[in-house]
Amino acid sequence: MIKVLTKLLTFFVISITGILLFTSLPVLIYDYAVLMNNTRLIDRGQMDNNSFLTNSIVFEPSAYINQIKHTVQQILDVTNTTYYSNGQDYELFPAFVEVYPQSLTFFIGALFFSLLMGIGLTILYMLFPAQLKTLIKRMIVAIETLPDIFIIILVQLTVIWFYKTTGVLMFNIVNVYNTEAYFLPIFAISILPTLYIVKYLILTIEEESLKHYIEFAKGKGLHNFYILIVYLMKNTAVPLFFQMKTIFWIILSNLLILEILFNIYGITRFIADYGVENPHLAAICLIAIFLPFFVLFASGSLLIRKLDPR
Amino acid sequence: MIIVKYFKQPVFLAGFSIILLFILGSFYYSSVKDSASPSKLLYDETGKIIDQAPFEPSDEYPLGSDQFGNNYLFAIIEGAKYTLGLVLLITIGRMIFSILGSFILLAVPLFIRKFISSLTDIFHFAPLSIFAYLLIAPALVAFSWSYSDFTQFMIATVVLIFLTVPVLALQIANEITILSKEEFIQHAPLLGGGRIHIFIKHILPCLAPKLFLITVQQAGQTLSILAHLAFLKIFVGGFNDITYGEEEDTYVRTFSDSFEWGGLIVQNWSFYYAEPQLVIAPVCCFVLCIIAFNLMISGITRADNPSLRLKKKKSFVSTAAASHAFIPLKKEGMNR
Repeated sequence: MIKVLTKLLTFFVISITGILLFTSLPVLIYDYAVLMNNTRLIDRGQMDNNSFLTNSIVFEPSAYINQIKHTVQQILDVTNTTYYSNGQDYELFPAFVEVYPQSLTFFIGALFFSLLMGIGLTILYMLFPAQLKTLIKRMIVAIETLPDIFIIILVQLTVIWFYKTTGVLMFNIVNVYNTEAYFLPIFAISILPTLYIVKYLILTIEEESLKHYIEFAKGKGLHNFYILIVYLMKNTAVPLFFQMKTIFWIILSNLLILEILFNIYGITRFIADYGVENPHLAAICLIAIFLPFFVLFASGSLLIRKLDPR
Repeated sequence: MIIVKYFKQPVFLAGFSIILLFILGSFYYSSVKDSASPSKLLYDETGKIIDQAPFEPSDEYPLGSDQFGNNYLFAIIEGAKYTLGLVLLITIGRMIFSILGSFILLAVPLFIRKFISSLTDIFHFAPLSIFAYLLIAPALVAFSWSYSDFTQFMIATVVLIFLTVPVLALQIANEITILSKEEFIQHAPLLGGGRIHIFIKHILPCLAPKLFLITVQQAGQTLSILAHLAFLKIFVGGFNDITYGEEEDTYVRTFSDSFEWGGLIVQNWSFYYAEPQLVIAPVCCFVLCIIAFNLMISGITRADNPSLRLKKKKSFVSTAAASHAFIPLKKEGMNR
């Protein structure tokens, strides 16, 4: 138990350090002090002509270290953090509370939806005859190579096309005024992670089903479906759990495109809008994305450790 | 040449020809196109105005036109050479710096390598394009008035090159470590082989197929980052902002200097709901090229593991299940 805890703690510390080091990088290569000063002057209308301003790439380790210190201070005092935009400093909290839960809903929704669909589809797949299996496998590989942009646009266009031809709007396509779209976005970002889960599960189940204990269970006369549910699913759960990082990453990358195409103002767009002028804000947002993952990952590892003390 | 065996794979050849066709077509078109500026109005035979730019798709304009009346299909063909050229530049840059980086990683103690490897884990907690955006946007979006076109281009290219170098260098360093544990390489120093000799004569031939695979993977991944960045309003290759409107009620439109696909997406983004083909056509080109690179990848994996399909049920431990033909392409998460 202690070993798992130390491992998790080092993982946490190193990840936070990594986020701090990365989000402060722009300060290392850009002359932020001058640039921000000019931005404030332009935004407040004190400077009209900006064509004479030139700047180039710099290397400022001292500013970099100061920025890291500043970011740490802001994170420790997160309730009073402000960010700069368009000539004014805004409080972080009202805006952030609007943005973050929404993205989190889509995110957690997509995670559970894709897990559910992935496991369901895998069970379905195992029931198919062998010739169909190879065909399905090839199809999965083919669809999986499509980039996320294409899939999300395709889902959106299908709904629009369906609406244009039949007049039935299946789901809200974009967020306009106070009507919020929930199911379609979650569905759109779940497609690729679902395929990934199905592919991974098929791979591990096929590997697992060649082991001796499965042969033995078959020899005992247990039904194939029973073996699949009771032995195989249970024993592939742990390897699937350790794939969570990749599944997480696929969903996040889909989420970014989703937020742009479905006009959802979520955390990735929040980073894109304000994270550039405020490096500390980018760090806070990235940590906010990292925390739910860490909680899931830590509780999962501790649970696995408890169930299987080896 | 080892590369010949890849061209014998139909899948690889198909992917390669798509990319080649795009590039050659693009260069051919630029050499024959007329430089006259297009008309913003479309007339029928009797001289009546039937459409105003952007035109609807028709026989003469298969994808319609942009808001200047340029035939959109030709704009996309023209853009292919910029986009694919950029991808080529970034990919080659990545490979060179990662190989150099892997040498450095092999020279430093192991715990530093482990530390860097756990630091690069942070790339899993946000899309790669967000990380690229945070580094490129200061020059291209937030403080764009301070930087010249050339500096902006250099910054974007260099950031895109160095973004995946740490991860790639680690991957290559690990490959080299695994290879150098092989017996024939362990014994080579006994026979008097120097380090450089061993690297060139023994390690490189084993490493080259993997490097080639990584190169193609990186090309595909660069394309998808470029597409993502276009949706975040960033594109490489020069732009100008034009402000429209009266004093209070102004809006800024960004125009791409080249017809680079990312630029076309950004430039036509405001028409997405009215004329969706203006955005979807460049997106489809990105997708087509990504698929082409993926075809090349599966061709390479098939050529490198020809025996996998033959020995399906020979051994008790499944080789079929672990066959490379069905290994997740994004096993590392970063190589999309």
